[in-house]
Amino acid sequence: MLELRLVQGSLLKKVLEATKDLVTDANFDCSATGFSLQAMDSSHVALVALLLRSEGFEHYRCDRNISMGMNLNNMSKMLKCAGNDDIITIKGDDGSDTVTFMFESPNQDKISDFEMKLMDIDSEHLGIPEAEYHAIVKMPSSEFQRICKDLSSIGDTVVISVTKEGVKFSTRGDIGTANIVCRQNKTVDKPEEATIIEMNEPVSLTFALRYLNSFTKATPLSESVTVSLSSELPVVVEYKIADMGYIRFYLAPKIEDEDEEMKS
Amino acid sequence: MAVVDAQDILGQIQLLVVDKLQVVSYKWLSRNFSVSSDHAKRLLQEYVDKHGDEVEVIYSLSGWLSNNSQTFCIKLASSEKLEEAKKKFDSHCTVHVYSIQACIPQDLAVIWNAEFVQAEELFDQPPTAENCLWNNRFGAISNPFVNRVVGGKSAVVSIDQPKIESGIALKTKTEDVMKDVCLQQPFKGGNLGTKEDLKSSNAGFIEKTAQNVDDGNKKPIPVKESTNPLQDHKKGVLKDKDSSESGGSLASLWGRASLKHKHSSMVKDANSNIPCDGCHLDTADAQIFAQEAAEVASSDDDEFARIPSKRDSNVSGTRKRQFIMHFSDEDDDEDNVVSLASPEPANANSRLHSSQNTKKVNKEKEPKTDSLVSKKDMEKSFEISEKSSNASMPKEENNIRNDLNKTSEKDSSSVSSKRKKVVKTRIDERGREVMEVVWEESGLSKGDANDSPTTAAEKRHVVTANKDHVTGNYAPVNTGSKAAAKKPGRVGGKDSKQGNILSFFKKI
Repeated sequence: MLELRLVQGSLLKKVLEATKDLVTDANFDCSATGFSLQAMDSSHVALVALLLRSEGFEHYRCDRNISMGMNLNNMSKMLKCAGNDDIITIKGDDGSDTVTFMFESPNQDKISDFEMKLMDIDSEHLGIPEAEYHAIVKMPSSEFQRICKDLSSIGDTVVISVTKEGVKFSTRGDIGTANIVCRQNKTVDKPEEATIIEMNEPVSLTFALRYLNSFTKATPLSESVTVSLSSELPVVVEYKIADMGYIRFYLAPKIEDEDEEMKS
Repeated sequence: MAVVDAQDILGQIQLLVVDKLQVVSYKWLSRNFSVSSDHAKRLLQEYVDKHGDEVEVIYSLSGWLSNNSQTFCIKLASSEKLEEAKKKFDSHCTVHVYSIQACIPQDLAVIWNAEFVQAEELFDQPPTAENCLWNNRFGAISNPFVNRVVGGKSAVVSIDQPKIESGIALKTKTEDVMKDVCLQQPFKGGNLGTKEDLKSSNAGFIEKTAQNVDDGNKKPIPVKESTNPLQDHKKGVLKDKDSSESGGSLASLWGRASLKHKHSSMVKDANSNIPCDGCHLDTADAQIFAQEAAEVASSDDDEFARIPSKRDSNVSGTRKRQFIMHFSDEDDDEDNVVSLASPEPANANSRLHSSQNTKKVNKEKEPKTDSLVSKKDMEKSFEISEKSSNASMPKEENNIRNDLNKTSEKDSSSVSSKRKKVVKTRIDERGREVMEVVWEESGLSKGDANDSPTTAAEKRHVVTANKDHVTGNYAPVNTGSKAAAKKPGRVGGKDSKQGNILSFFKKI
């Protein structure tokens, strides 16, 4: 038996908007601690990890760990039927191959039930080790979204370099090049608008803008985004979800192909 | 061949398995360090004896099933299930270490991914490079008409070498039913070999070949002769593995694998074990050849008439591999000798191919539409069989096996002079095999006498083979099937490559 009541139903809607472009099918894992998802995109380049802690739900009941395979597009279709202020309740029965989304309007005058079929998904669960990152950049999520969008009109890849000066996003395309430098800026009215750079050592990595752009679909979830870079690791783009969890996107960097050089 | 100290290899194994988390199979080991597969198996066994508790071991069992003595079965089993698996066999089954890894991967494709990448690399090398797959250094089956200079080195892959793996297509009288498709000689290590399609109906010949192959397999870790290409390919449990060695895209690989199942079901006699023995994608190709054979049955004699031409070219001091064929089918006696050595069959072969399918022979990377289509057609017409590798066959071919045991392990290309026709076989980026017949000038064959280019080439081979696995965190070493599928579509030049998330995070 599973029953999760989320007062801020819009969060779930936004989560789905953020992930469905990257991942089509995924297993949602429910345990006593929370509601989580981990899935790779089809090309195994990016990984999305979602956690909604049980404390964030108004009511959270999960008798035993359960994994529900859902098609995210279908789930998104159903959640679109929920109003932005609706309370969303996710219900599931043991052994059932469906999940029910219940939407209650704020004044309780409308209640809708949507039942969605579950699917069997063979997913590979990856162990993501805790790591020390060389550089952690926290910046306004809308700014990050804007940069990724702008740069993707110039080139396909972005080089993100973090130095003492700030964080530099640069790209190169047929029509020319672009460089955007964001300096550290803590003196703002609202803490969400600050750009904070914690750097242990300079780092410079190349990423496909296509993926970063789909990560920024999560921008509505949070005012600020944290980008963690390490030369040996995938970049982590993290959006906090209210105070109940996070959605993290991992993206493998582009690398020089050593094999190719060997052969040529 | 590079002789690497056993201790050295054991150290490398440790590095690969424990640090790089790579699956190390005996086949991979054999190719990577240019040791015989037997040696590789022993090394793995040695490693398991020493560090068995740190790694997961997959064993390969082969033998006759106890509940059905007519069925020869090859099975992979993890160490926990080894005893259980043994019970399914009758009293004597061969057990050897197939691979060791840090953990049993969830996706079984990972088990052979490393081999696949390796095989792909080896075949990407120019034919001039010394390469254990090209000259089948560790092959157990040989042909009496192929001569190898012991210890000799050749920088040139002469005509006989790449052409040795034979898909023998057989037909019954009613031409639309293909009765037997068999690979005769997994000469080059057996994977992606060029095929000699012998357009003759010779059931007896094939049957013996099959039995021979199996007898070789039954040996409990043969001492002298490597049965590498045989055992390499008989993974009864994981049939898909075979094909994953050879092709480019994974989709085509699975396709081939299922084709093979179908093939084995279709074959009614002893040959049905062949798909897991001699060949990888070969059966698929063999079927194509078979179809071609249906159309070009008339050219049979051309090929076989020229057979003995290479026989006398034995240089003194060479050891000859012998493969004795017994023929039960008297009808086809005139066809019972097959030369894989002389250039003429290559000609004939290429002629056949070009008449059937010019694109395939002459142009690299040209789509082989005809054969693909025909393959698909064949595929449809076959039933799917779930049986792994089984065959009903008499166990009488010991003499052949003994002969095999005596044959030399070492080999090198036979040396020919002046201009020679070289058949280059390669796997293009879409996983198809492309045969190319080119004339090579004598300038290259001088390399035969001169050791240095050869060793250089060999070193290069070793380096590149190592490279993929020993260096580079980013290399898709352990990334499973998808990585393998993606690999053929590499970007060229100095373009950076998109890393794979699986290179960073381990599956749990």
